Amino acid sequence: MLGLLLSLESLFSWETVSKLASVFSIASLGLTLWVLFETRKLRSLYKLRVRGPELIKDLNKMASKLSEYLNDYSDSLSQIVEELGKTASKLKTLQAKLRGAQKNAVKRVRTHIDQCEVKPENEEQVRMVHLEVIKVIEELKDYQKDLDWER
Amino acid sequence: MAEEKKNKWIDAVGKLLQITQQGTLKWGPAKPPAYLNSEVRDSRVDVVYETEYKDRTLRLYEKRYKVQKPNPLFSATSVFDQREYPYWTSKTVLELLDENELSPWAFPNSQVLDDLLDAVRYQVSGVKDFLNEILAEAS
Repeated sequence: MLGLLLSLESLFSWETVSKLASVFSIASLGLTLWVLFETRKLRSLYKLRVRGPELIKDLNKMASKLSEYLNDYSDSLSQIVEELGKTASKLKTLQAKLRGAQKNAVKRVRTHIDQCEVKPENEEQVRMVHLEVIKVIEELKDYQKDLDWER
Repeated sequence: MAEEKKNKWIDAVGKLLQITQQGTLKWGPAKPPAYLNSEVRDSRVDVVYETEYKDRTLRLYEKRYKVQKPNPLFSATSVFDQREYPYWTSKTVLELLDENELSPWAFPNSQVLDDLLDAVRYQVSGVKDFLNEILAEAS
């Protein structure tokens, strides 16, 4: 009986309570960080759900316009420069609403656009950039479809 | 992995787009086969474009079709989807035909197919030559 009382006393000692409090503090910090992460994820998900379809539609139009100019590359250099500029700016807006792999994919295409010099001898590079834009659009469309299941 | 595979198709169609726009690959309009215009399936094809590439026939067309309301139990309909059903829409189809021009195999759908169709229409209609003729006459 005395032994039981003694072990109960040691269980509720300040030292044990303090250790327990430390464990809960660490756990609550973890929980707070998790909530923060999930909230950020939800926020970007919501932004993408609302603005994403419109931005992707605009990018589609820009890629089509770019392709149209590629019908007559040498006579459309200035239009191509303008269209690539618009595309890069639209991608920048979209990038801010993305996370993870999709964000990196958009960033990569923006770098390709930045490095692309539109001049008569660079037709291959411009065509490559056009296809990169299409690839990222397709990736984003698939991502949007996946989001439909994350309601 | 699926993304990589899709990118491969985009690169392949991109190559067709490039040689079409550069005039190396020539397309011609043709009458669509009867099975493409089905009343039962609510789909319509007005014209198809065909070309020979590496001894194979490629057929490209715009297919218009009716979309029925999906069953909510088996689909992920979004709360943002406010459209009215049924509605008509269209998609671009690129098919690879066998020697008998039967059992077509369709390329996966992507934006680059729309660009290819636009490039083919541009080529078939002869816009570039027409434009050059007008400009030559004007100068």
